[in-house]
Amino acid sequence: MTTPASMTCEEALALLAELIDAELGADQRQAVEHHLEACRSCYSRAEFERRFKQRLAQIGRRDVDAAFEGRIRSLISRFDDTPPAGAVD
Amino acid sequence: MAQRPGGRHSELFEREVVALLPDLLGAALRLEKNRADAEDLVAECVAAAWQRLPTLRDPAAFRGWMFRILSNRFISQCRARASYRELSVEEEVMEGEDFSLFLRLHQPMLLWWSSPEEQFLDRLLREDLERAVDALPECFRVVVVLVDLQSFSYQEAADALELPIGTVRSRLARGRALLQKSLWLHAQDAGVRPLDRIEPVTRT
Repeated sequence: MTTPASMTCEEALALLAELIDAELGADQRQAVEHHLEACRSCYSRAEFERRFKQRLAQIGRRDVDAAFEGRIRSLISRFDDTPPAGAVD
Repeated sequence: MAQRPGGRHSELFEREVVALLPDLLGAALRLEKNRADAEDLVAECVAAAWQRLPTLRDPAAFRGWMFRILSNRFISQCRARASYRELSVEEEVMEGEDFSLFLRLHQPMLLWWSSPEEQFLDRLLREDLERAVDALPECFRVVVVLVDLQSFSYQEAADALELPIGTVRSRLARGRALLQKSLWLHAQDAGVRPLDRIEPVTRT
C-alpha cells in the first residue's frame, strides 16, 4: 500500500483520470489528492483535465426544439397504453 | 416505472422521456453526427424502450436503461452498414497513443495566472469539441459519449455497452488521447504555435 507521502508524480498521474471520473476508492483518492496538494505540476494537470471534462459534459446536452419534442410526444401518443408483457429484444 | 401509480403508463413514460430528451439528443448527435439521423435514432430508441418497458425492474435506472438502448441501436446500425469496426484482441490490449494536450501547452516557467493551457480551454468552441468527438472511431466515441458527455460511471458504461469494465477503461483512455490530439492538430492548423515557439513572459 502506497502511503500518501510516498506517491510519486508518475503514480499520481496514472490514477488521475480515475480521480477525475470519481472512480477511485477512498484510500487511493486521498493519496492522489494529498500528492496534488503538494505538487504544483500535477495539480495544474489535474485542473486542466477537470476543466476539459467539464467542457465535454457541456456538449452532452442539446436544446430540443418544439418540432422534435412534438414528434416524440406524437409517437408516444400512438402507443397502446398497456406495454407488451415480457417483450425483450 | 410500469408499476407506478397515478397515471396512464404512456403518460408516465412520456414525462420521463421528455425530461431526458436533451441528453438523449445530445448523445445521439455525437453518435450520428447529423441532426436528422440523430433525431431518428432517438425516436427509434423511444419506440424500442416502450416495447421493452416491462423489462425495466428499477424505475431509478431509467436513464441508464434508455442510454443502453440508444447505444445498442447505434452500434447495431453501424454493424448493419459495416461502418463499426470491431477491435481485434491484439488491438484491444495494445497500448494507445499517450497524447496529452496539457503537456503540449503547459509551460512550468510561466506564472500561474498566465497559463497557456487554461487559455486554450477558454478559447475552445463548442464546435471544436463536437468536431473532435465526431472524428473518433465509433468504438471509442460511444465510450467517450457515455462517460464524458453523459457522466456515466465506468460500470454504467460497461453495462450499457455490454463490455468488460477494463475495456471501457482502456477505450476511454485511448479515445481521450485521440480527442486531445485532434484538438491539438486543429489548433495548429488554426495558427496556435507549438510549445517551443511560444516566447516566455519576461519582466521589463
